[in-house]
Amino acid sequence: MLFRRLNWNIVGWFRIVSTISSLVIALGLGSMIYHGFQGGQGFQPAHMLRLGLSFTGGTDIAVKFTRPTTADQVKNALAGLGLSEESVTTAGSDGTGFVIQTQTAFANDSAPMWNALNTVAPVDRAASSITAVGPSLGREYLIRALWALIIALGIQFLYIAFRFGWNYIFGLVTVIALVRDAAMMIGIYALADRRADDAFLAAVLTVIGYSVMDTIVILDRIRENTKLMAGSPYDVIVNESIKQTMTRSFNTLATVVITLVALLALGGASLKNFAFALLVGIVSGGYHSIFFSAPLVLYFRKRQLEAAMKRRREGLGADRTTTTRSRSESTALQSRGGVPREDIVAARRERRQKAKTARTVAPAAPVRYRKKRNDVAGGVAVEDVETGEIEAIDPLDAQNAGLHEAAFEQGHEEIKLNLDEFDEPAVQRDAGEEEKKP
Amino acid sequence: MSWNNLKTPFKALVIIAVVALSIWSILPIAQKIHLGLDLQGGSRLLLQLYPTEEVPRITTQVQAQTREVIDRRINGLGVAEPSISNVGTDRILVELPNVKNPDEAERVLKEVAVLAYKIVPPDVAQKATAALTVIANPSLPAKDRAAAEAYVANGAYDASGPVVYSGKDLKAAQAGFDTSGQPNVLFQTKDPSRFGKLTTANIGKLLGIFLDHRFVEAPQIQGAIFDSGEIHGTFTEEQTVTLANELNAGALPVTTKIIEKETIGPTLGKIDLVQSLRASMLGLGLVLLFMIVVYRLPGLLADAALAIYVLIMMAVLALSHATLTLPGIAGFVLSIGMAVDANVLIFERIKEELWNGKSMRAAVRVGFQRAFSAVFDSHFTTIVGAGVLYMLGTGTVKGFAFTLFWGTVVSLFTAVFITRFFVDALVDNDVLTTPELYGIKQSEVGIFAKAGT
Repeated sequence: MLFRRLNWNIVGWFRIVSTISSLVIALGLGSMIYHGFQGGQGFQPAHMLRLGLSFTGGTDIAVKFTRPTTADQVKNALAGLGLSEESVTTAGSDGTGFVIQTQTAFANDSAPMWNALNTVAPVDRAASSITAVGPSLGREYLIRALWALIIALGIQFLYIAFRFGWNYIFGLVTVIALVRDAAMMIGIYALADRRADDAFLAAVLTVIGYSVMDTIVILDRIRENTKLMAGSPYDVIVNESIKQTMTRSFNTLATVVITLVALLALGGASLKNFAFALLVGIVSGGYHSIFFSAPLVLYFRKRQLEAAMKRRREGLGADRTTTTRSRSESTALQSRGGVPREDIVAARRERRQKAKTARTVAPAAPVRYRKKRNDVAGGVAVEDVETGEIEAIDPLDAQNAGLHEAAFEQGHEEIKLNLDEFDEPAVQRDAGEEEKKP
Repeated sequence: MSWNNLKTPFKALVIIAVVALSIWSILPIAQKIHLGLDLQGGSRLLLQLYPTEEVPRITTQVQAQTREVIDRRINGLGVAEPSISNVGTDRILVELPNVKNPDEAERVLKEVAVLAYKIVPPDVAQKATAALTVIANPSLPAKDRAAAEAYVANGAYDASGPVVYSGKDLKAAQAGFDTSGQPNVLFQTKDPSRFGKLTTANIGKLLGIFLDHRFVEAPQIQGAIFDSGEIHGTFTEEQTVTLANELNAGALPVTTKIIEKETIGPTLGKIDLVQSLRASMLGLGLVLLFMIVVYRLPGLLADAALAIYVLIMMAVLALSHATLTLPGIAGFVLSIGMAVDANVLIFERIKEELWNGKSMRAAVRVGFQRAFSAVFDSHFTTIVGAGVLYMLGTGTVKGFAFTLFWGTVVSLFTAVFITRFFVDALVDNDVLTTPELYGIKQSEVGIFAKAGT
């Protein structure tokens, strides 16, 4: 699979992609609100998501009778126990297995439950199980679960800040993707009316980690390509980055999904529940990091630009508080297609370094460029002898690479720049012209 | 010889040592890998200790005392490998693998076993004795039986006078049979003169025996009793053994209540074990296949590293004495998927470098280097989730967090160090020379030499 050869404009799908994921989340939220109103006592937040017995307290029994019976008979036998919110479902096809769930906790004394069940048919205790959590312990576990979530999120945020500290957009996008993945999981659980138990918590924590790493890998590639493709418009950079990392994203997704599907297909009931939660989260994580996060970076960059432009217009008008620096920055940012100045400086420095080492190490190999067209504005138009591609070389690079003649021909003078004190108007000019390039 | 010459043999030695150590530590598997209660059947019970009038505060000392009593009682049950541990300062976790009678075990844990003697008024004794026969008769309506039960459990105790003698004053108890063959408990008193005085003063009256406030019987005091006596009621032989055991083990210093319970029948555990093992084998097999299909020869190398990974993980389980639970298997299976993630990251990067026109040797070197930050990201973010879950997670989820945590740590070693060693060895020995072995066509090499950079 060679996704990078596909001619897909993934960033162009952003609207559809974000609509789909927003729709799922909205549906989930809607069903949570709907559940909140169930029960007849007005809106109750506690009813929004059905919690598992480890968080509410209660009893979960898998019972195996020695002869077949029906769920109704089991229900009747339990009627005298005064259970709250009980449910009886059949397990297996021979009519001997049932799963009983109730919010009444039989932790301290389960004898009444077994006695009642024994009146239906003799219970095979060796093939039955009971899990019970007292109500106050359930509340305690719920609080601990929320703490676990908060601490894990906190550490992930710190890690994101550490990785992208210099770039708040990347950090913000990673956090948004993470929150969306968690929201997807909760939403689909609410839609499916499944119980969110401690296995669900484990799944959410795992998915959050997965989502963060998945997003980081793609954003890292954007960062890398911003330097490598410094001349290109930002949306091309983002699109290329997505396509380059897509195979990786799909394959890592595939390996995890394969194992989860195996668990879902062959695992027991409790494993199935867990595998389902993980599957939802990890597929959502993959979807978001490929189709959502990276285009979202572009979206934010555009917003940033528009804001800068607006500031500039206002600044040119009445508002004198805007500094010349921010005004010139906004113009520059716009003309550079959203590539931040730091990236260009870094890219320049890197290329300059490379050219320098290339010169010192292997001076014998001349760069075989020949001039093709003059109308590639802003840069020195050269054609790669091997591929025939026209490239606009930054005049500075041309200078460094010893292409002075080409630069002079286009009317560029030799530029003497102290790159440590970056000269604003210079970039403004060359980047601005680059943007007009098709 | 320089370090560079020694590097490869040294790495090989490290890998061989790790593999040998792992195999040594997991054999024989059945003894070294401990299965959790959910896979072999058994009971896991969390006890909460509640303060009483005598012990108003639960201190660590009280917890230790309670643990000792529970320890003795559990030993009396004859459970194979019980595990009793403190949780916090006011809880005790009891794990009983393969317990034969879980109900009995539960009862033993919370029964305070306070034996109390009271002088019982004749009408109370009569009513309580009648109630006992009602309870014993299953054909009577449930409502009547419930009322009778309430009277036996508490009513009779409250209606009688003060406690005149208690179980604490008993020296030893023993289960036995009375002359008619009925099971009973024989006891010896610690303080014969006091018991003698008590019985002498109350000849002709009814001496009620209460176990945990529950009415057992109220025999008439026929004469003075000094050093030994017997308790009989409607006990089964088993019950007398338990009662004697409890009286000998001593009373629990505080009230206990089971607040969390997980009891799994052994047959059910076995079914779960077989199912989850089958699922993990399928998952593992599919992942191995996937890697070979997608990454060819390097994929095969990653698979070899994955096999070593499974070995090391089993060794971790064996050496840490952790038990393998059902969620633990889930964590293990998931970590298999994540272990190859690192290899996918690295191999994709190598492929890209090949597309960019690098030589095989350079592509491998640069691929491993450049992919490392992404590999580290994926491991770190997973470790955070697993670590937090291990610290704050509850009961069964801890097993998942444990295997996922260690799985991620170990996979950093196998996917990066071991796979790299394999790939390097093949490249250095000119085995892995053509890109075809990588699953990419010769014609594709260098196709992106200009496009990306």
